[in-house]
This record gives sequence, C-alpha cells and structure tokens, in this order.
Amino acid sequence: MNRPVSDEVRHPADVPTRRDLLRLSAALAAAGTLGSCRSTGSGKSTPSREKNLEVWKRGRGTPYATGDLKMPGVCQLPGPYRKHKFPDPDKYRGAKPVHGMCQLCSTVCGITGWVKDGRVIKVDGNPADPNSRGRMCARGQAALNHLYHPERLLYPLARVGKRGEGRWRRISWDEAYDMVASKLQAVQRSGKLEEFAFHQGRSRSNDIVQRFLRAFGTNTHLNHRGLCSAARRAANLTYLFESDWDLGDYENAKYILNFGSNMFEAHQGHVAGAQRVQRGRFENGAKLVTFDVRMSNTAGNSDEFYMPFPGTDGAIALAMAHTLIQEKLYDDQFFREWANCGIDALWEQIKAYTPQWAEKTSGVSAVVIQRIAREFAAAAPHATTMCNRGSSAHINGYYNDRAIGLLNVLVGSVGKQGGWCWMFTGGVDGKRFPAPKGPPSPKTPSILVDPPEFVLSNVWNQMKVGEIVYHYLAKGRAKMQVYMTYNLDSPLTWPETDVTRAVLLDEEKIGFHVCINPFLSETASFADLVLPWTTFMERWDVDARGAYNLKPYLSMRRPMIEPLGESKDVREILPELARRVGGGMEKWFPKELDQRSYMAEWVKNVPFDRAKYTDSMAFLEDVGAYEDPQQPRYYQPYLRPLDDKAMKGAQVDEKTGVITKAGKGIGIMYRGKPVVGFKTPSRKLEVHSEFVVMTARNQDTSALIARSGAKAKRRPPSHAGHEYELSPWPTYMQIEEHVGLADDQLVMTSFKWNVHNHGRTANLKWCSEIVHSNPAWIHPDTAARLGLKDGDWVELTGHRSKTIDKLSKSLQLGSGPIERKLQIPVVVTRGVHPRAIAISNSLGHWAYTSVAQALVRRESGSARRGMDADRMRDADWERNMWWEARGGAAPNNWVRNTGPGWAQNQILPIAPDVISGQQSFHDTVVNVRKLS
Amino acid sequence: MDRRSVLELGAAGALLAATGQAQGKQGVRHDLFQPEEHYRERMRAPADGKRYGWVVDARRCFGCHGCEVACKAENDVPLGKYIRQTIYHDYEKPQGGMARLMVPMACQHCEDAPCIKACPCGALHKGAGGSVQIDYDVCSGYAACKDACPYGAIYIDPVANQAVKCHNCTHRIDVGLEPACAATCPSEALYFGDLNDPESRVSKLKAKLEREGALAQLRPEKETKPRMWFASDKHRNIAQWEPKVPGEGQSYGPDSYSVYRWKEPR
Repeated sequence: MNRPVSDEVRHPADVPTRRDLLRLSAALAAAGTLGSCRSTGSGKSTPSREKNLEVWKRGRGTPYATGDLKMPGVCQLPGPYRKHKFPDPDKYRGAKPVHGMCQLCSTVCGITGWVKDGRVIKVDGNPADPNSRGRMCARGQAALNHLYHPERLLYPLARVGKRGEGRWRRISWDEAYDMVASKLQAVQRSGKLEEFAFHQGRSRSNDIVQRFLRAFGTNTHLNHRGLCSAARRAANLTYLFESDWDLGDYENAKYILNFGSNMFEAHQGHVAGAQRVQRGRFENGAKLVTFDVRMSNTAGNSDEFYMPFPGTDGAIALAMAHTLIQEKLYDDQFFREWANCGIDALWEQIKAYTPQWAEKTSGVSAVVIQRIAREFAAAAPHATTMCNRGSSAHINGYYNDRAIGLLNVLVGSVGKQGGWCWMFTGGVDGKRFPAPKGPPSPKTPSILVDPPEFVLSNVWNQMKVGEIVYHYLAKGRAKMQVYMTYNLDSPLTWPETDVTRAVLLDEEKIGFHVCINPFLSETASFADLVLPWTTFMERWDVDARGAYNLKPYLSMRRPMIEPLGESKDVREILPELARRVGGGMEKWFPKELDQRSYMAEWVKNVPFDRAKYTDSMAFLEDVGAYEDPQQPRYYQPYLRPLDDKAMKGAQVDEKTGVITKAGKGIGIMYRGKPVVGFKTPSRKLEVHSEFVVMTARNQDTSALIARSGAKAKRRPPSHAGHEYELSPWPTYMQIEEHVGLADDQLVMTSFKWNVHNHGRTANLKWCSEIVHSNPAWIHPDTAARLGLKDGDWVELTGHRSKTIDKLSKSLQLGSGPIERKLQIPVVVTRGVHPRAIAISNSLGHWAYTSVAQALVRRESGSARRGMDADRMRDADWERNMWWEARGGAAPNNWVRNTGPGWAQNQILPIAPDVISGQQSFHDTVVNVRKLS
Repeated sequence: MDRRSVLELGAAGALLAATGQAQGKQGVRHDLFQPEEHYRERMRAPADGKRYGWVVDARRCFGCHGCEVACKAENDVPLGKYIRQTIYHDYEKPQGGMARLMVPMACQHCEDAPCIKACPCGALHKGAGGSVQIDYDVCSGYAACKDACPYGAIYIDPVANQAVKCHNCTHRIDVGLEPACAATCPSEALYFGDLNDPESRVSKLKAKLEREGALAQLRPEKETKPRMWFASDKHRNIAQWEPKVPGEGQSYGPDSYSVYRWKEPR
C-alpha cells in the first residue's frame, strides 16, 4: 500500500533548542552562507529549506509496502517518507513488561517482552532470571523475527497428493483433531500402542507431553539426546551417579581448562556460563586455556589456545593426569578420601600415557601439557575443566570425558568453590515444585526407546539414541503407525540425510505423520498433517536449566500476547486430542483444568511476599523467576552429615565405611563421622567403575545399584547378545580410521554459530544476515597440498566409521563411503587444524521459509494457505535482503557471502558410539577433491 | 538488491581493506565543514549536567552479535544497514598460536563531532548528555555527515533518505532502561553511562582501566574527542585492528561479516 506523497515538510515541534537552530539556519540562509550545499544541481547555492527538500525528494526511496501487521525492521514512516520521532521517546510509555523465557536454543534465558497495544515491541533479558541475569544473545534478540515472521504457519495444513510433494490444503482444527484422533484410535485397536511415537527436537513442555503419552499408553517418546550430550552425561554419571551435568563454578574459578567446548557461542549453558567465565577471568583473575580443533570464539578469546588432532582430548587429559601423579601434584588427601581407588592402582593405568605419547597422539607439545597440568594443580581447588560436544561427540567421547573428569578428581576440585560442581537437578526442583501428577508409566517397550546395542544409554536416565531411529525403521527393526513430531528438524539436523528422507517418505514404515511446528520446516514437508504451533512468546511453561549459581531456580514462560492466527500450544492441542481419542485417557485432561490453573497448581509452593502478592502465581507473573535466597550453593554435597535419625537402623560396612539402611546405600563414614558421600556404589567418586564393566557385560548390577541408592537400572534382557568389554578406568581409545590418513583425506568436524541453533534460526532475518553461508574451513597447509585458495570449490566424500562397524556388527551401518557427495567452497584459515576440515551445522535449508533458503521470493505454493502472507508482509526482507544467491549456489556462479549455505549432514554418517549412543559428529573421514 | 550490487559491496569491502588505513591516517575532512557560526549552537550540549560515554572492553567481547541484533530490533534498522557491528579480527600471537579479537563498534559520540560540523541542514546536534543526535524534521539526506564521519558510523536510510546513527537509546534511558546493546551484552564488554557521575559503572571502570593503562581511543589523529574508550588485548593494540573500522564516506557493510574477511588486516 503506497502512502500519499506530500511535498510539505512539517515544521519541527516547538522544542526551544531546535527552534533556535532553525532560526539560525534561516538567518544563515538569508545571508547566503550555505554555499557548500552540494547536489542542488541548480547552479545557485541557495541553502533554503525548499532546496533541501528537493534534494531529499530526489534521494528518497519508495515507501515500504506493508500488510496489516507491522513487521520488525520495517521503519514506520508516517506522512512523507522521512523518519519521525526517532528514537521515539514514547516507545516504552504505556508498554507492559511480560516476563517469559527464550527458547531459541536450550539455554532458556529469562526474557521480558514489552507489550503495547497487543503487540510485542521489543524483547529484553529479564534481570530477575538468576541464571542469565538479564543477558541475551543474538538469537534471543531476534525473537521478534520468530514471532512476527512473514511465513509463519498459522493454520493447520493437510497434504494433498503424495507425501513430500509439497501440496497442501488448509483445514480446520476440528478436522485436524479428528484426523489425528482416528489414527490414534486405530493404534489402540491394533494393540501395538508403542507404534505411536512422539519425537521431539527441543521440548520444554515435557510434563504435558509425557502426561499425554502415558495416558495413551505408549512409551515411545523419542528425543535428540544421542545427537547432543549422551557421552558427556554417561561419563559424568559414571563418576557421580547423582548428576549427568557438570556446572563448573567458573565465576569463582582461577583456572578453567576447556577441552573443545564453545561456551562463548553455543553450549547448553551459553549465556549463563559464558558470562561467568568472563567474570571469573576479568574479575577473579582466572586463566582460560582451550584445546579445540577449530578456533571458535571461545578458543580465539582464551588466554591460551592449542589445536590438537581431532578426537585426542582424552590423550591430553590423561597425559596431564600422568604429570599430576608423577610430580605428586595431586591432592593426596582428597584422593584417598574420595576416589574409589588407590593412586597406585590408577598410576598403573596411567603410566603409559606420558606427555610425550600425548604429543605424538595429539600434536600438542609435551612441555605445554606438563606446564598446564602444573598450573591447573597450583590453582586448585579453584580449578575446573569445561567440556561438551567438542570432546564428547566422538567415537571415543565417553573415554575422553572420563579422562577430563579425572583431572578434577586428582586436584581435588570436585564440588569445591571455583571448582568442578553439579546440581542435584538439571532444571526445576521437581521434589519441591512437582508438576501436577500424571498417569503412571505404561509397560510398552520399544526398541526405538531402548536400542539393545548401547550400553549406558538407559541405565541412569533414558538418554536414547535419536540418530538410529530412522536407521532402525529402514532396517525393519521397528515400525510406526503414527509419528508425531514436535519442534524437530531431523531431515536437516540428523546425520545421513538420505536415510532420514527415505524413511520419512515411506508410508509403510511411518503410517501417518503429524508435525507440530511454527514453520513449514523440512520435517513438516514430509508430514501428512502440519499443526501450527505457538512461539515461546505465546505459551505457558515452568522451566529452568542447569543452575550456574548452584542453587535450583524456577522461571515461568507465559503468553505475552494472544497466539497469532490459529496457532496453538501442545498444552491446548494434546488435551483436546485426548478427549477426542477417549478410551479413558481423557480423564487426565479435565476441561476445568485450564492452562493457567495447571501452572498455578505447579508453582503453588513457590514462596512469595504476602504483603505484595495474593499467591505464588501472581508473584511469578510479576517477577518471572524464583531463586531461594536461603538455599546454600551446592558445594561439597558429599560432606553433608547424616543425622541420628538418618543413622537409626543403619549399618556400616567395616571395610568400606559404606552406610546402608534396609539394603540401600545412604552414606559413608568420613573421618569417623557419617556423611552422605557420593551417590555411587562405592559412595565415592568412581574413578574405577565396576558398574559400567558389569553393565556392558549384561551382568547383574542390582547390588551395586542398591548401594548407590540412586535410580540406576540394569540393562534389560532384550540387550542380551550385545555384550562389550568396557574399561573401568579413564582410558584412551584410538579411533582406527584416523590413523594413516591419505593426503587427500581430512577429518570433518562440525560446529555451531553464535547466531544459530541447530536447525531453527536460519529463518530469522537478523541472524541469517550475519551468518547464512558456511564455507568449509581448511588450513593453509591443506590448501597448499591440494592447490586450493579462498573461494575454490571442493567435492567431499564422507566415509562411515570402521571403528563403529567393527564394534557393533548388528547395527549394520557398514563402513564404506556415503553415496551422496557435498560440493562446497573453502575458506583458508589458520584457525583450523591442518588435518581437519570444519563445516558448520544449522545451514543449507531447502525448506523452513524463504528467509532460511536465502530467497527473496515469497512462498507462492499451496503452503501459503497455512500462512497469513498478505497481512504479515515484510517489505524489509523483500527489498533489502542482500544475500540472495541470484547466480545460484553452484560453483561457477556463486558470490561469496551469499546463499543459504550447505548441509553437512548429507555426507555425515549415522555414527553412534556403542557405549552411550552419542553421535560422533566430529570423526568423519572425508576425501577432498578440488573442483576445477 | 541485484548480484551486481552484491559484487559492488564486495569490491567496496576490498577497497576498504586496502584504503582504510590510509584514510585513517588522514586528518578530518575540514573541506566538508560548514562555517563555525552555522554549527556553534548545535555543538553545545544541553545543560543537563550529564556526560554520556562508552567503555568497550574488547578483551571480554566474545563476538556474540547480541548487541547488533538488539540494536536492529530496537531501531528497526533495515537489512544491509547497521547502526553497530562487531569486528572480527583473527591474528597470530607474537608467542605463537592463533587468537581472535572481537570489538563491538558504533558511533563514537565525539565531543568535537565532524558530522555536526559538516551538516548543512542543521540536523545533527548534541542532545542529552552530549549524545550526537539527528533532528529528523530537518535532515534531508545530504550525507555530508557520512562523508565526514571518520568512523563510518552513519548510514543513509534508503527509504527515508535520511541519516541514521547510534542515538544512545535516549528513549530507553528516559524510562530507566539501558541502551539495548549494553543491556543485553552477555560478556559484559559494553558499558554506557554518565561520566560526570563518579559512581556510575562506566566511570568506575574507566578509572580502573585508565590506571592500568589499558584504554585507547580510535583514530586520535582525527582529533574528534570521541566519547568511547576501548580496552583491547595486550597482544593487539588498536592500530593493528583499526583498519577494519570504516572511514569517511563509508558505512558498516554486510561484507564485514564474511568469514573470508576475518583474517584481515594481515
């Protein structure tokens, strides 16, 4: 809609200073002193306002076409096109702050939406959130792009024609509900309840999802953990049992030893963790040392940064342990009291891992390794390691993280202020603030939930092995009658794209696929029915993350505005579905329990100031977050004493000091007094783990589990035949295929950008403006050897893992090359290891809105029927998006820094480590061929 | 934008890399200045007793781009235009090993602001706390300010045909909020506040860093008296990365985000 053009320029408001300026300006004009005004073109140099107006009129552009809804980034230009009231002094007047939580990655930072006239005008961080403390990254700041996206899905779409063909019809919610309900009723009739599978990418509404699935009677609740953090969690659990998530006390640390974690750009703790690392460094004098195969921003900003060969973090850590023991730098007393083995026994295991050996293995100098080990010990107990997928998303990731964890045990920084800490909960304290009670867990086992090949993926938590779901379906090891996907981007983010795609297209393997998502994602494009999901600014949750203050907290996500279009949250969709499916499941979803009442029930135990608020809900709605000021930080929980009441009827094992009550471990004797100890079978830190060895052999571990008092499980009988020999120790596992690489072979590593999450941010124009293109990083040595320079294109061939194929034949993953090749340009940089090639994830979309595909063309197909494309018109994107690859993304026409990038997963094999099921994202051997 | 424009952007970027340093060494563009009596009044800050200024601790910045996107969201900055940007500069440390310096960059809010002096229309002036502001009832897009700014901190809005630059988020300050960028910065690298208030965070930090000899300013040879101070890594002084900051006649361009540019200047 064009605005009328007026030649009249309004005179400025009666602000005295400005009026004075005008008077001056007029006076000067009259005096003819403004001769330097250029581009008047008239030959006369009259600096009158009329003249200025002429210049301005010539330079102005066509106004933006807009729909009914103002889109972020499209300047409002009332009257003539000039800006008006910029910045607008009234912008925040009358705007109401509504607190919530971001969900554009998994860190879930506290946010405040400023709401005015039913519209979110800006999203800020919420300073009351004790974890993120009011800070936000670029993703969260682009929240408005997410909420007000021109191609947001707002109406249910049912497919027309073949699955995956991309033809849609808009249907009513009523029809959509009935369609899903009838499919679910058919599953019930079949008696194979486990063939209804729910698969989430990122869910922060697990309470309601679980309630629904349990009420239905299926346990097939799949996730993405195997692609994320399974190895690290398994390593932490081996040491602690109590927690799978270490939370370094970075703010109080003096030394932070980082093995491949990119805390400054990604990581589950990103904004909360990164700010504490910087406070630790710049306010507490901590040193940050990083090992990484690629110079991430964390690596580049570290005090020291070394580039080891991919997958050798464990070798470096073991060599440091070697130095600590050999030079007697370890904390002897702590080790004697709290490690479950003697130092001599450990030395027997470690002595071969000399710094010289580690230098040969990793390429990092032995002298450096020794020096850092000494510095780490000198800083203890204010010393902690930091790691994540960089060390753990490897075939040997479990052992890498076991070796890294050992360093904290040796220097005695475990649980200490400034040391390596954890919490008894990874989120909301469910004991104190339990979600409203739901149905019991059904007994409907599914091989997809508990795949037998993987040793530790289900013994503590259900970690699951997401990356084998499609592989199992392809091999006929499982089947789905109904597949409900939720906030899942598997065609883009799962390894071996072609397997995912083929399975998703196959109606024999997946009978009916309903996808719940706010955008028509790649996953949605393979669905039979797509339900428009609300954004995190339009729904309820009670949520929290690993608390870096080491006290549990709780925040609330709540609707800032009414959901746009007909989008709905699962808190509305699932109850209505339950009522339509019936058969008894509806009783868990009474109509009178509306979403707000459900939340109020959940948070009713949150203390509040009775002088200011009527109830917990009113308090949380006003402030957004709660942290108990009385609760002590979770330092040295193992020293908490057992009182007489706890000790009543307890037995102390004379040899080990382990205290049991009714056969269950409750503590250990420490310096003659009963304390809680660690919640492991030995009640100590399990440097030597009998438990994992026996578990891997499918032996009976119930006695060990009882002593730990934890909720660990035995591997079920279905795992029989999948026995392995695991080392009880932190040890090094050589990745076979990494030895003897040919000249044209590199190890492909993966990474995440600071403006993107894995698969859900490329549609945000402000994030994609910064990063939309992801050439492969190669070292100058590689470039010289292969005759490559900046911008040259290569073809990559990915190979399946020989190591995994050998370890677990029954997986039938094979070891040959992946058929599909990847053509990609290179960037030559010293910021990557000479034997590695680094390609980011998150990019290379072929769906998920035009913005994600770097297209200016608006969605014109039948998918538009699910959108409000005319009302939500983003003229800024249509006119100003400068990175569209007009010449295409093919080698000959590509212009640098344009286009949607490339998807690495096309050539990345399904490669789960058999210990934890962790996808080894950073181990793929690729052949590199220059494209001429 | 067509492909040629993208190519031109690339070329402009290359030109910037080649000429940035040279331009940075030249003096300020006196030839663009109006007679003093034309800007004397506008150069005078209102007597509000405040002296707004910035400290950027680039040693802490980890380049998350939170400030830039916060700024886009706050100010509806169109794609391809930027009020602020974060510079990435990869370099080799003298003792060996690679490092990356990241510096959030925006208008320096100079006390002796060349943009105010060059503005023929009388739009650029000093506002609250001495912030350099634009009067949109007067600005008519001559772009003399852009040509005069030694830091490339001004762009011309393609639709409004008016100059746009950082305005210190005075509309947020007025209601008790920090500027959008400083409020969000997770690395705590960006500090804004009243330098006349010795108790303000920015004053305290500035005093501390001054004692440590860690502060420097951008292109002091321009004699613009910027109200922004930088603490950058001891291995990398400001002169070594300053060529990445655009100069006179330039604005922040999208090409500076390209991973191909991070290694510049070598």
